[in-house]
This record gives sequence, C-alpha cells and structure tokens, in this order.
Amino acid sequence: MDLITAVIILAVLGLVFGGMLGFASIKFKVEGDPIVEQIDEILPQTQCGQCGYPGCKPYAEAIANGDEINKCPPGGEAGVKALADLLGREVIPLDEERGEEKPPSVAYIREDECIGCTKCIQACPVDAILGAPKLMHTVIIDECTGCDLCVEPCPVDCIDMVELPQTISSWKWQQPDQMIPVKELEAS
Amino acid sequence: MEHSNPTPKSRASEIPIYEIPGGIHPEEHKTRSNQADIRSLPLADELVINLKGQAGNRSLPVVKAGDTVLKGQVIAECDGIFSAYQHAPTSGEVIAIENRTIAHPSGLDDLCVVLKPDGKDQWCELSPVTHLEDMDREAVLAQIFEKGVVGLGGASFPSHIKLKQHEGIHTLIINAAECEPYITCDDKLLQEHTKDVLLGAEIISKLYQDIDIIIGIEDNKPQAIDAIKQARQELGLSNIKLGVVPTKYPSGGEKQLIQLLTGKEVPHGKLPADLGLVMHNVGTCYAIQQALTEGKPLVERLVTLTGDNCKEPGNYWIPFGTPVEHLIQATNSETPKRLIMGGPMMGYELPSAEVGIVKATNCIIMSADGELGMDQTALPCIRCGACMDACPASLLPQQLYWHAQADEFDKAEEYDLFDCIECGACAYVCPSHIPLVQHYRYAKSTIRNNRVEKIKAEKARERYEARQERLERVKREKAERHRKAAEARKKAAEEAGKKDPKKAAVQAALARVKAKKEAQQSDTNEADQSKADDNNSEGNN
Repeated sequence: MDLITAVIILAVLGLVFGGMLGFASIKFKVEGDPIVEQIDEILPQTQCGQCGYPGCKPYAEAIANGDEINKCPPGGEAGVKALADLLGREVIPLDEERGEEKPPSVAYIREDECIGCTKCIQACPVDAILGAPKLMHTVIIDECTGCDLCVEPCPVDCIDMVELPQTISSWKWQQPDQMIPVKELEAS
Repeated sequence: MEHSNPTPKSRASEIPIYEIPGGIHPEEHKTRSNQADIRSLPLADELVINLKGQAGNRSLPVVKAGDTVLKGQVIAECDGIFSAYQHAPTSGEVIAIENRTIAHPSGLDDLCVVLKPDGKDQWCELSPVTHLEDMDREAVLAQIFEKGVVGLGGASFPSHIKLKQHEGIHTLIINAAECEPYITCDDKLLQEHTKDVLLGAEIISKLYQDIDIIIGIEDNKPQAIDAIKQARQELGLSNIKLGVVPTKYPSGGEKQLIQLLTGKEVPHGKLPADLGLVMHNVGTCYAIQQALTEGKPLVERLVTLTGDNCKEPGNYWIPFGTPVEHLIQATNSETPKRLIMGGPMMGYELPSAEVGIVKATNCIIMSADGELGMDQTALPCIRCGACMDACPASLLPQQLYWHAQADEFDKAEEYDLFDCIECGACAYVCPSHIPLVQHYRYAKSTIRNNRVEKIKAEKARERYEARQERLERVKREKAERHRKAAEARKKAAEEAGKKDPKKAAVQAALARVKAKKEAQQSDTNEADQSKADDNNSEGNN
C-alpha cells in the first residue's frame, strides 16, 4: 500500500512540476538570443563587412558562437574593450588583416563623372545612395556609414571616401595630459 | 532639501536667505573695472558676426555680400524655434558671408556675416510698442523673439523659449549675483540703468499671473542695491523684493541662486520651471525692456574689459561682432599674455584675437603673464578631499576625476557627472593643480558624442534591416511569380491536350513563349520597382 501511495504522490508531483515547466517555457519564451542583440548594440553598424561577415548582425551572431572579438576596425579599440567587458573575454589588439581604425568618413560621388550604372546603389548596405539608371547618383551624407563598399564596384572610379570635417557640434574637449611631469636636473 | 532655519546673514536682504554647500572666495578683482562709468568705443573697421552666437541652431543669413544694411536690420533669421534672429549691429555694407574663427574653445571656423561699418551708425525704422498694457502674451513673446533677445548671463539661451512656459510659474528671479571675479557688467548696468532693468523685469512678470519678483544680488554690490531700492520707490514697483546673498562663488549659478533664495534644490534632470521658478539675468531684462519700449533689437551688450594688461579697464557698450583685437587697441592695452572670454573661473581662452564679440560675451580678460595662474603643472591627486568640500552641487569631484581620466564614462555618469556646473571651484582649491574641470568637460563631450554616434548607428541598423527585408521580399515575390507562371503553363497544356494532342503541342509551345515574355516583363518591372523602393526608402528617411 505504502509503495503505491509513494508512486502516486511522486507521479502527481512530477505532473504538476512538468506542467509548470511547460507553462513557463511558453509564457517566458525568449525570442532570439539576447546576447546577440547586446553584441549588435556595441558594433558600430557600419555594415562594412570587413569582419568577413555580410553585416554587423551576422558578425554579432558569429561572436556569440565563439568567433574573435577583434575583427571590427570601425569599432576600434574601444569596441573591442566593450565587447570584452560584455563577454568576459580578454582584450586583444585589433586584427590588422581586417584593416585599421580610420577617422569617420563618408562616400562622395564626383557627380559629373557618374554614368548612372546603379552598381553603387546595389552595393550600399544602408540604402544611402540615391539615383536611377543612367542618371547621376549621389550619397546622402547623413545616412552614409563610410563602409567603403560602394567604391570598389564603381566602373569609372568616381567615388571618393572623404573624411568628415570637424565642426563646432562634433568637436569635443581633449583629455588633459596624463603625464606625470618629469623635470631633468642639470648635472652639476 | 529644505532648511528649516533660514540664516539671516545679510541684514539688507528682504527675504530669508538659505545656504548652499561648498563654494569658494577667490580674489574679486572687481574694483578695477567698476569704478569708471559705462563708455563706448569707436567702431571697429570690420564686424564679424557669428551666426551661431546663441544656444541652438545657427541662424540663416538673409543678406548677401554687397548688401547695405541699416543698424538694427535683420541679417539672419531663425532656423526653427530653437535659434535667434540676428540684426546688423551698425549701418554699413555686408562684405562677406564666410567661415571665420569664432569665439569657441575649439578655435574652429564657422559661418559669419562680415560687416564693414559706414561710420554713420544709422538706425533702421524702429517699432516701439506704445500700448504695452493692451498687448497679449503672444504679442509680447513675438516682439522678444523678433528682436533677437537671448539670455545674456552666459548661456545665450533664446529668451522666447524660456518665457514660453507659464503654467505653474510663481516666482521670477532676476539674477544679479554676478559672483565671478573680474566681471562687473551686471553691477554697472544696475547702477546706471536701474529703472530700465526693473521695467524689463516688470514686463517679464506681466507674462505670468500672480508672480513674485526677487532680485538676487551679492552683498558686494551696495551701490547697485541702493540704486534698486531708490528706483523701485520712484517707479512704485513695491512687488519687487531684494534677496541679498553673501558673496561667495558660485552663488550666481542658476541652481545655486535658486537654493540661496528659496531653499529648494532643483532635482537631477529637472528644470527650475518644474519648481515654479523662472530666472533671467539683469542684462536680459534690460534687453527685453529695450526691445519693447524702444523697439531696439539686441545689437550690442555691456562687456567688462579688464585684466592686468588692459590699460583702460571698465564696462563698455560693444556692438556684436567687434573683434577682440579692436578692443585691445581701442583701450591702448598691451598684447595680452592670455585672452580670456568670460570670467577667470568659467571662461575660456580665445583661440585668436580676431574673433568677434557674441551675445554671451560678458567679459574679456587681457591677462598679464602669470596673472591667472594657469601655468602650474598638475601633480598626482593626494586624495585630500578639498574638492568635495568646495563643490556647490554636492558631487564627488575626485571620484568623477578618476572615472573621467580612465574613460569610465558610465561610472562617471553614475556619479552624476551631468549635474556638474563646471564652476571650477574644485580645481581652484586643488592643491595638486589638477585641471579637474577640463577632465569633466572631456568626459561630458565624449559622452555626448557617443550618444550621437549611437543614434546614428541605430539608424544605420534600421536601414540595413529594412534593406535585407526588402531583398528577401523581392526574392520571394519573384519565386512566387515563376511558380504561378509554371502552373498556368501546365494547366493550359493539360486543357489543350484533352481536345487535340497536335494542337495541344502547338498551344503548349505558344504558352511557353507567352509565359517567358511575361516573366521577362515582370522582371524588368520588378527591377524598376526595386529602384523605386530604393528611392522611396531614401526619400522617407
């Protein structure tokens, strides 16, 4: 008799907890992988593909699956540091093969040389180039991420990457010198 | 935080005065510039009017090179509401609209209107308001807006925006504290144009219902206090109360003066308006009075010229755009070692003497070698905590310094970096001469830039995802069309096959050609469509 009671009790408990777990798995389901989202937040969203993946999101997924965190030149050292902080990994220097950290720049189409082939429009990952077949194209500077991807496909080489000039609104204060002053004493 | 026991430190004050934490007592150096009467200087050969001379958007020029303008004529309009009108400071010819070095710590160029005075200083037709009592709130605000009035206390915040909110405002505070060393322009303005300033305050108070007016002034300005008392009696403005606060830097900071006069602290992330308070500088009151009763736009301001190298220190009416170089020459001064715009505590070193005076310029210090003691090299922090005792905002300057210099911006923000008013009291007391404020400015501007970049990245992500989605959709639709075409073909062939096998073969061939044509057609359409999508999405963003 005792044996049967014990079995019944355990069976009932098992059903109850199983039900609760089942309910929780539906009710509190996590859409997507939150760590991928967090990594994607840190990446600069230039969508340049220098990391070897077709965009920032795919690279974020790759990092979540164990890829190195130093393949993003636009993110720079600061980006690597932020990723290392997030993932609890070592800070490593940028992978030089992927390119180097460059000052922010945008694409500029020399408009009288443009033949209107739409190749750059197709290459632009963020739809920042405006134009139509056989008509001049132009870059919407505010939307351009400076990814370089439009430069290569251009058959007449009329796209330049131009460094963004510093303006009053983009200017920032410099950090004061951190050096501990060293005074050289004259030999007597 | 409200103090239960107000400390009546100054007998002259008509309202109870509370205390603020921290603060310092630097040497005042005020007597050298507040002895002489207000003067004017001869006009400069060229005025360089900075179009970004106010907080907010750059004004849009409405004149072009070659135009002749009269004094007070509009030369630049507002770009949106958060901007200000600019007027010609004198009559003459616009010789260029070009990038010039502007009064900004960066030393960068920005768009300026360059005006060559004709020497006549001829006003355009002015439109003073005759029946002020009959004007409604909106009309008064419009007049203030059109006359280009901005806050003259230092931040150049457009006055019409500050005055817009009126619900729940119960106290108007006129800031006459002028706590920073060297500067005396508000003091002199109050002494010589007392009535105009009080009338300006009266005009502002009419914009609100049942409002108290308090003039907050430091007790080191007895002449100005007497002048206010006398003018108040003569004008019969008994509703204006004097709040005389003890001399201590930085009691003239907006939040500090509010705390001194009301005992209330403006909470983190809130505005004085949330406490029912609005504050204007005495210079702004004067400018508002001039804009309404005289119809004069804001084209000049009172500027304190001082410093060891200034040979005729004092307060001068300076038209906007006057190059600082001209001020040095006109006062027969020696070439300054350092040229500071603003006071010694919160001002900044000018990148060049060619920059023009802007609406925010309250003082120019032409300093001699070693006068301002900025050459000392920074030594390591000894963790004495003196900065903490001096901080008027009750922050932990040392903690902020550690985080700022280590680029730990999120931690600096946790310690309320953005509540720092950059008064410089901490750096003043630092025995190691650490340029603390510069560290905070570095951290603040980096955080601001990072925020802008974050927004840009977010936008790029959205556009990238939208594009991916579009490409997916186009692909799907193409596949769908092909599938439908194939089905139609098959069906046609089957139907034909039922009647006559020979005919069916011919029909099937025809159907194939037709389907192919259709597919081609739809492909080109689709290409056009995707182009159109491209354009649309760009246009929309």
